[in-house]
Amino acid sequence: MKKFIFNILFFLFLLVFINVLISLIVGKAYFKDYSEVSLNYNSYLLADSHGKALKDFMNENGVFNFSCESDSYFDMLRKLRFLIRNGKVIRIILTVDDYTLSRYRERANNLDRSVIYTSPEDFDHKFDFIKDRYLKRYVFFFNPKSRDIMKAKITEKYKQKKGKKDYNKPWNELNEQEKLNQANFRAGSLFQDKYRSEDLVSALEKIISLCQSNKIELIGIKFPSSHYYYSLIRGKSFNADSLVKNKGFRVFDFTTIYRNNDDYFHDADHLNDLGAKYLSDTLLKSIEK
Amino acid sequence: MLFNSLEFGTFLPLVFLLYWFVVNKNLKAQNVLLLLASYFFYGWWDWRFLLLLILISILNYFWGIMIDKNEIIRKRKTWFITGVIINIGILGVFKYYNFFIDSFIDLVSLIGYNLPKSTMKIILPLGISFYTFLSLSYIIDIYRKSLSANRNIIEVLLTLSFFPIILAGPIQRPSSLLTQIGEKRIFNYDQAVDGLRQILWGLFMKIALADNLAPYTDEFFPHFSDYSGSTLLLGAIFYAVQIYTDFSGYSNIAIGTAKLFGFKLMHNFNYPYFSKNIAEFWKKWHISLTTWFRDYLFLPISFAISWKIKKERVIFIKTDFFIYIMASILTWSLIGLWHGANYTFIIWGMIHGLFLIIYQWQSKPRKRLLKNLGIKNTHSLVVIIDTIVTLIIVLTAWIFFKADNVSHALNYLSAIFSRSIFAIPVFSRRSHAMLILFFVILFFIIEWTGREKEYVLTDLELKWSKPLRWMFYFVIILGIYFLGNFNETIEFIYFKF
Repeated sequence: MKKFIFNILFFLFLLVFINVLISLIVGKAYFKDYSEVSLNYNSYLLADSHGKALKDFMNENGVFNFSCESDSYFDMLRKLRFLIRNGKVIRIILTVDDYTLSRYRERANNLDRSVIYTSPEDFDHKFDFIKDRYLKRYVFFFNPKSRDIMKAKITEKYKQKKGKKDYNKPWNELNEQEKLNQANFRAGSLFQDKYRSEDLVSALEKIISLCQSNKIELIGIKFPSSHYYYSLIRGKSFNADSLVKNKGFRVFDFTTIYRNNDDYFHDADHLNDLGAKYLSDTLLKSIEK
Repeated sequence: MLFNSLEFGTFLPLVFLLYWFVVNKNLKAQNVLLLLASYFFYGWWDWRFLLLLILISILNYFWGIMIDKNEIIRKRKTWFITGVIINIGILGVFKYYNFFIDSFIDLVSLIGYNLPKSTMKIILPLGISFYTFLSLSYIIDIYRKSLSANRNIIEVLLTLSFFPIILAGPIQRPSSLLTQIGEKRIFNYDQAVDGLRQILWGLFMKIALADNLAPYTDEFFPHFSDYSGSTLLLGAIFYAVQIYTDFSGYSNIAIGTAKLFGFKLMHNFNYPYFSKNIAEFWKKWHISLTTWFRDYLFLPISFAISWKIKKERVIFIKTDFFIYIMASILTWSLIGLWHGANYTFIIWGMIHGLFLIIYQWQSKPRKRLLKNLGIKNTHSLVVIIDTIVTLIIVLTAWIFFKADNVSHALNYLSAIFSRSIFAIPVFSRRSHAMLILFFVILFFIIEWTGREKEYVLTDLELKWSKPLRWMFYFVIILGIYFLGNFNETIEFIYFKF
C-alpha cells in the first residue's frame, strides 16, 4: 500500500508540475483583462470582439464597454446578472449580430472566464460553482481553452525563434483577393454550422426576460461589416435580432452603413479606431432619438 | 454521478482512502462504506430514485430468503414468480409505460377510435435495466438452487447496488459478486495499478474518442437529408465507433474502479469489431448482457420447447434448428426491447437474431463449399471478407439503434445508397474530423495489437520499463487533454437504457 500511495503521490506531483508549466504558459493575462469592469455606469455594452473594437469611446457618454472577444450570450447573461446584483444598470446595448446564435459561438465562448462574475446562486449545485469558479481556473486540465492558448503561445514562440514575425497589413492596404480571402475565412468560421444553438437561444431569452423583470432598457445592435464580408453572409442569419425585436425592444442595424468605406475597418468584420469612433457617435445619437 | 466528471474524480479518491485506511481492518465496515458510497453515487443524480433502488434491493433480499427457506415446490415457485413479476413490473412501469400506452393509442386509432395522447410521462430511472436484471438473476439463481439466499442484508444490498456497476453494468452474476463481498479483501498493488490503468484507458476512449464523434453523429442523423450518401455512411461508421468507445470505455472504468477496491468484475467487451461472424460478435459485445439472456432466457426456452416437441422435423425444418429459430426470435426481440421502449430497438435486435439464424443455417453448407473449393476457413481473404460482411450487418443494425423511429432509419439507409455515395464526404469541421479519424484508426491499430488481452494495456509492466510506462501514461493524459471534447459533459450512451 505504501508503494502504491508513494507512486500515486509522485505521479500527481508530476501532474502538478505540468499544470504549473501550463499555467506559466497560459499566464495571468488571459484572466486579468476580463476582470476589468466599472460599476459607476448606468449603461453597458455587451458584445464580443465587434463591441470590443469600440474601446472606451462611449465612456464619457455614460456607456461602459463590457465587451470581450468571443463573449457569447452565456457570458453576457452572467455579466448582466452581476451588474444587476452589484450596480445600477438602466440600459443594456446588446449585440444581435447574425452569427451570435451560431453553434460556433456556443463552442467558442468565455465560460471559463465569465465565471468570475457568477455567484453560488447562479448554479444548481454549490459544487458546480466551486468546480467552475476555482478548479477550472487553477487546474488547467479542467480548462480546455488553456490548451488552445498554449498551442497559440507555442506557435508564437516558434515563429519568434525562427525570426518570423506576423505582420497584418491594414484592411485598406489589402488587395481585392486578400480581402476576399479574409472575409471568406471569417464568414466560413462563423457560419460553419447550419443550425443555430438552442442553448444560446435560451440564454438570450433569459437576458431579455431579466431586462424586462428589472425594467432595464434593452437595445439590440448589429455591427458594421465590410462589403466583402457582407456579400458572403447576406441572407444568412440565426435571427437573434428578431428575438429582441419581437419583445418590443429597439434594434439598430448598422451592418451596411460603412460597406463602401474600407478605411473604417481593421479587418473583414471589425472596425478600426476611426470606424469605432464614428460608430460610437452614431450609436449614441440613435439611442437619444 | 458520471465517471467522466469532476465529481467522480473527487468522490473516488475519498472513498478509496476511507476504504483502505479508515475501515480497512473490518470487512463489515468496508461493506457499509461501499454501500453508503454506492447510494451517494446513485443519489447524486436524483435521490428520489435512490429510494426506488433501495426498495427493489430490500424486496429482493426478502424474496431471496422466502424462496430459499421454502422447501415445498409449489410455495417456492409462487414466491419466485411473484418476485419475477414484481421486478419486471417495476421495470415495465418505469421503462415501458409510455411506449405501451402510446402504441395502444396508435393501434386503436387504426380502427377509428381516437384516444387522447397520455400526458403522464414517466421519468426513466438511471440504470434501472441493469439493477433489475441483477436482482432478477439473484432470485432466479436462488430458485435454481445455484445460490443460497444471503441473510446478511448489507451484503445483498451492496451486491445489488455496487457503485461501479449500478448505472450501466457490466451486469454481474450475484454469486460471483456476493462471494467477493463476503470475503476479506487484501490490498493488491498490481491489481490496483491495473485498475488505474484501465480507468485511464477507459477515459481516453470516452473523452478523446466517443465524445469527439458525438457532435458528428448528432448532426448527421437528425439532418440526414442535407448530406451526401458518402457522408452518411461515414456518419454510421462514426456512430459504430462512438457507441463502442463510449460503452467499452465505460466498462473499462467500471472494471478498473472495482479493481481499486479489490473486486474482479466480469469482462464486457472483447474487441468485437474484429469478429469474423455475427455469432462471434455477440460473444464479444456486451458479454454480460448476452450471457444473461443466454442463461436465463435462451437456454430455458430452448429446453422448454424441446420437451414439448418429440418429432424430428417441424414444418420441414429439423427440430433442433426450429427450436433455435424460435428461441432466437424471442430472445433477440427482448434484447432489443431491453435497450429501450422503441420499435427501432426491437428491429435492431431482430436484425441480429435473423443473421444469427442465417449464420447457423449456412455454417455446415459453407464448410462443405469451402472444402470442395480447397479453401481454408482461416485463409486471410476469407477472414477479411467475413469480417467486412459482419461489420456491414452490425453497421446496418446500428442505424436502427440510433434512429428516432423506423422510417427515420429506413430513410437514412436509402439516403446512404443514393448516387451521392460516391461523392467526397462533406463536413462542417473538416480538419477536426480528419484529426479524429486519424486517432480512431490509430486506436483500432492499438486494439488489434492487444486483441488477445483483457484490455489493450493489460500486463504493460511485463513489457515496458517504469519510465517508459509512465511516459506513456502522460501521453494518454495529454492526449485526453488535447483531444478531449470538454465543451460539455456528454453522458454515456448506455445510461439511457
